[in-house]
Amino acid sequence: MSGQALKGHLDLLLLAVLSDGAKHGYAVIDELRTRSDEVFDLPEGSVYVALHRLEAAGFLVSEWSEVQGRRRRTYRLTEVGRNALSEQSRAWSEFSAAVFSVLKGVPWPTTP
Amino acid sequence: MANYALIDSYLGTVRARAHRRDVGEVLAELEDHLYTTVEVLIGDGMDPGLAERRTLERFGDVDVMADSFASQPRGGPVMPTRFTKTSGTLAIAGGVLWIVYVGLWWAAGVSPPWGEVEWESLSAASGILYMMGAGCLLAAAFLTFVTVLALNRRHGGLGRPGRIGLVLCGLAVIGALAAWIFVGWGSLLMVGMILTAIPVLQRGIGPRLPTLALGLGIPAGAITAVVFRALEDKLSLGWIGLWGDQWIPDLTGITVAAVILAVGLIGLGTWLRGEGLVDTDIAEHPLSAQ
Repeated sequence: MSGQALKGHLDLLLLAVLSDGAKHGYAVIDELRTRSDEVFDLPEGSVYVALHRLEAAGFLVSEWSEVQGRRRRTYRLTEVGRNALSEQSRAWSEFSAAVFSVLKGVPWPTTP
Repeated sequence: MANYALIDSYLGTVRARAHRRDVGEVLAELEDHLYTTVEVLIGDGMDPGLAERRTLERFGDVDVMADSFASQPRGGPVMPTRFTKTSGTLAIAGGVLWIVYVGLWWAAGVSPPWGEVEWESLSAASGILYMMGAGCLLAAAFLTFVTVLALNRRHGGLGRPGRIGLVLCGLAVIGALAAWIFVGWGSLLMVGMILTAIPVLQRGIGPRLPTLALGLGIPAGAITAVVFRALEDKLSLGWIGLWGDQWIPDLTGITVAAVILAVGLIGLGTWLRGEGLVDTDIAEHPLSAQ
């Protein structure tokens, strides 16, 4: 999937990837690619732009460490970011379930 | 540490264009990512030269990235937030207030304050209606500013036009509170809203009709007032005040502006309140350059 199709959803995806623990940028990108089975293929630099923006907005905080002689920045979710992730995940789930129902021609929510 | 000339050149371009205070941290972070990537690719058996080129291809076009990292991040996340959703409700309230405002002034039967209101000519009831209308006008202008702020925040910023538009709308609200010169702060508000509407329309990131209404409301009202004033001599449309204000032409123009603005604000407010994710297209975002 091209970066164009991801526009507007990248922030939510990054929050989701960071929800199970702190990660540095390379690991975030790797996780994004793995979780999407390599469907999400976007310029890696744009992930850093989004991470910086999310940190400036208070959704993430970062810490520095030194690994193999190089400085490494690690990001983790703040409480604000976790709340935003929870809220947007719910909205996205409802939206995607409704789209799926329309595409499949079944009523939503489906009854068991 | 191995020498990666292409990566160093890439980072040099980013450094040359950056004018942010944390440029050192940004470069350290990018260097860590790029060196890690190339080392992983080489570890997978790729030729070092090819690995370096592949690493930079995956990272993104150097010009786009250098511009993206040039300044401090601003604008916030590209997603609906509690602020944008609350602002949606306030935008709807703002739209309603624009209508209430003109209704009260028509009811008061007085001229808009192009110059000074001739208080001696007002009945007590008219004066009260007029002041209530003026209060609604100030509140509507403030809520319009909040809507413009929310449009900026909803999309992680609207670029330079959006920032200038936001500042102008803010100045208009301050101007409305500080000095009752309708043409002055109304013009600031008009330009501010046009500058906000343009990037939203260009990037296709908001509902078109309400966004158009937001940008065109005041210009349409101003044109209406000018046309009605031109007809004044032939049709004798209401009285002319000492300060040149003409009740029916001017208030008709203001009404046209208020109604169109109300359509815009209510439409945008309804949209901002929506829970669902909204497709966005940030032209300055590197994703859109691919």
